[in-house]
Amino acid sequence: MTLAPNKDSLVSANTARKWHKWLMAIVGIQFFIWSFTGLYMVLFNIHFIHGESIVNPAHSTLNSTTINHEFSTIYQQYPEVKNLTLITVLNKTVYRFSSAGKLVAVDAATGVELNKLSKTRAIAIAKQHLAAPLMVKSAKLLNKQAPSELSARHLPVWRIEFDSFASPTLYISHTTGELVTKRHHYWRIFDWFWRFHIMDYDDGENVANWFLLLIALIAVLAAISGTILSYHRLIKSSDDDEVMS
Amino acid sequence: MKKLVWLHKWLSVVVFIQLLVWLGTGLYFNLRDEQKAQGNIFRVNNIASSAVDADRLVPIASLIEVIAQRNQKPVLSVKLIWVNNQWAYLLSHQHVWHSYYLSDVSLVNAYSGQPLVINNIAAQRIASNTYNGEGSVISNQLLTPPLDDLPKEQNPVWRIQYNDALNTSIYVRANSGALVSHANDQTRFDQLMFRLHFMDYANTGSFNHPLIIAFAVLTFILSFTGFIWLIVRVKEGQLRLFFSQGVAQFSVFSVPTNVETTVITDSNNSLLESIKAHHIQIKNSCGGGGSCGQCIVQLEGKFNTSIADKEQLSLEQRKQGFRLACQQRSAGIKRVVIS
Repeated sequence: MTLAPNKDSLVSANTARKWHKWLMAIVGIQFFIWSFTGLYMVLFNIHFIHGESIVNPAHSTLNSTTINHEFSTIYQQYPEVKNLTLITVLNKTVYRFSSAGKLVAVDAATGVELNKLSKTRAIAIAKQHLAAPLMVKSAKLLNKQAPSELSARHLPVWRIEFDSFASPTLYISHTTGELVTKRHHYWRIFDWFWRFHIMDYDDGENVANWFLLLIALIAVLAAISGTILSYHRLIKSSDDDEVMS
Repeated sequence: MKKLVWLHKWLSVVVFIQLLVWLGTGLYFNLRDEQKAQGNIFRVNNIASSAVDADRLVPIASLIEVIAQRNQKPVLSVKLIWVNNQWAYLLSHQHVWHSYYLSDVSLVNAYSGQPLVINNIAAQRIASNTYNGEGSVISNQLLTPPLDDLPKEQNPVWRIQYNDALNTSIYVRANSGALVSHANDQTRFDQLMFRLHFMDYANTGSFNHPLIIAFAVLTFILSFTGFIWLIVRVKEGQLRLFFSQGVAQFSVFSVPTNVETTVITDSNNSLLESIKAHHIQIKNSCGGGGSCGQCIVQLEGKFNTSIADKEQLSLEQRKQGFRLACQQRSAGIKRVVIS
């Protein structure tokens, strides 16, 4: 005696099971990666990830008595001045700007360009910014090559790494002595997880990659077949249980 | 294994809608036009400025003192900026990590030293300088956060509304005159996709809230249990990642109907699939997951015992050759009895 396949629903439990099983054999690992990396990203507050809690604010109060040279002198002495800003860096009042595309720092008291930051001063500045008192693990001047976690436009910089579980690292501008950026392992892990989340494994900048598109399309089918299967198991199973199919 | 299957099934019921939303919005992010999504469609980025007339710049040292005294606040930095078609000093009284954080600044005309107030006329001029669409301004309003278009913004902003096809709104910060963004129907759709992806129903711009953390935990357990299940299936030979190993042939005797049928099938198919494909009656409701325990058959010879077999059948039954048809491959089978 033969029976027609289950006519109650468009897709039978068997078909859904088969599709779910085989599609997940292809994209199951990525599902696991998406859920794991996604969990990490929602669990840790993004401001913590960005290291806002490991450093003190960037600038302290301007002392007007140390300003012997005016904004106008900078314009008179340098060509193509852009983004002219007056700040305090380690007790000095400093004009920071770009001139003909090059970053320049001038002492507002003397009108003279700052010496390139020494290692000792770079460490002192880094320690001043760091919220916790930690030992310095390494201090390195980066001239040409920026690591992937630093934008090359900040070069040259001092890379000051501290001795702690998350390896907090501060990047101090060689020219101006300013804190340009900060990193710790939580952020580095976040960046790697982001790359795995969007399936762009080199720099994590391209969400619009075809690999993600392909896997996500298969993933949609895999998820829909799983949904149909759950529907059969939980909603229909009461009518189905004793039915021959 | 039973518990794992149970967990996988019930978690899927809880998260399936959000899971499909994540996948759907993820596909959107993959396929979207970034220029449109960021509101660059009518946006001019290079705003022409006049050259700085250095001789007319107000001395900064005395200005800092005046401003600090007037506001009773220290000055942390001074930047010379081009705003509202004039050069101005932007004095900041407080450090902020992001421009959208509530900031405390003073804005002063760099040639006169007079406070520069971003009123509705100034805001509209600033906005218009960045706009190259066809529309014209229909409204101009000072708004305080929270704002639908700018969920993270904490500063009061001017909204300059245009009557173009995309309903462009241009936002200008009231304290600094800085352009925040161009919002339009394209960016609003993009923002909706982000809100769905981040389950940000309160529109705070955050993805670190308890609701999404709860769903992320459940989804992680769902995918973890699924992953373990997949490994078990591979181990038990139910998932063969290569193609057909030829044809299997065996006979199936159904006790209820007293009919013997010869089955010819791909040897990689599960026994349950092969039996169903020949329209032979067999109980089954879970679709071959080993979880309903209904597709019991008796086999002649020695066969593998899966975890599901052990959970659904007694040792006595297994010794007598009873197995779940969904857990067996068709290869090597000689005779099957369905009672």
